[in-house]
Amino acid sequence: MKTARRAAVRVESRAEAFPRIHATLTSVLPPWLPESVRHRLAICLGEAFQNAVVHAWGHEDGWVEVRVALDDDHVVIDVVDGGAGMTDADRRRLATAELPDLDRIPLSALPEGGYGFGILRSVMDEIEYTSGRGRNRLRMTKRIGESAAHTPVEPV
Amino acid sequence: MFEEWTRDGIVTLRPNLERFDTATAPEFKRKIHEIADRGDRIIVLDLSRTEYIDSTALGALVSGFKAVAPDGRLVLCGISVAVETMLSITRMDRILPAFPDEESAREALAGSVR
Repeated sequence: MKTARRAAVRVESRAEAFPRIHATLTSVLPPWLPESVRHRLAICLGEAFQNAVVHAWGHEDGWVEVRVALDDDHVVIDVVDGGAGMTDADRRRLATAELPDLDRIPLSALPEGGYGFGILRSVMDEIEYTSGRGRNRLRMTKRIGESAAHTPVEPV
Repeated sequence: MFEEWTRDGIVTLRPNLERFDTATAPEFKRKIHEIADRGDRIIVLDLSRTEYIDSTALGALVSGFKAVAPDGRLVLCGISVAVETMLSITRMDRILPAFPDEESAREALAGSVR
């Protein structure tokens, strides 16, 4: 992938650090990207970050690194942590989770949690989770190709 | 953490939370169930002070919806674009209608009050 822009930040594993990683994402996104896509990417970044803070680090002191890369066709967001890796069950959920279909599920049976992975899978085009050598990486890729083809991104 | 007032049989609940997330969702859930359990099931949730919600907070909103169902109503007002986006992605905007402000939400709910 030919990278046009990239940025990275390492923060403490605390929810309060979210504005800093959000700013890192924003700094890389091209100005022409629609607001709706920006908000969707920010929501996914927030979910992935929260997952690292709550599940990987279990609210204990740790670090989370966010790397964002942009080329003409894709935004790639990596959320890396050094905490506990996902269980096999979590990995399966990440690979298969779907948001509830309100036309098929009785409203009284709507789940009161567990929406995070479904949100990631609904918004992102590719999701990859790898773990090893004391690091876990959730890579989320979103295609932004068609718009990018008409508005070249200035290389940095 | 919350402001709450009742007028004309409709409760307005306003969280003073810029971020409505994993840390604050349990308290919200407790609060909205407390309101529903005492029989107040026509509720406006004023999110005008909330910039962002995460999926845990979304689950708490669903819990609130279920707490007032089937005879009650839970509607939102004053939501940010980020909150609107979360509801749109998950399609929960179909069960949690949103209004620009508290007054328009109350007008829409007036017919639901018995």
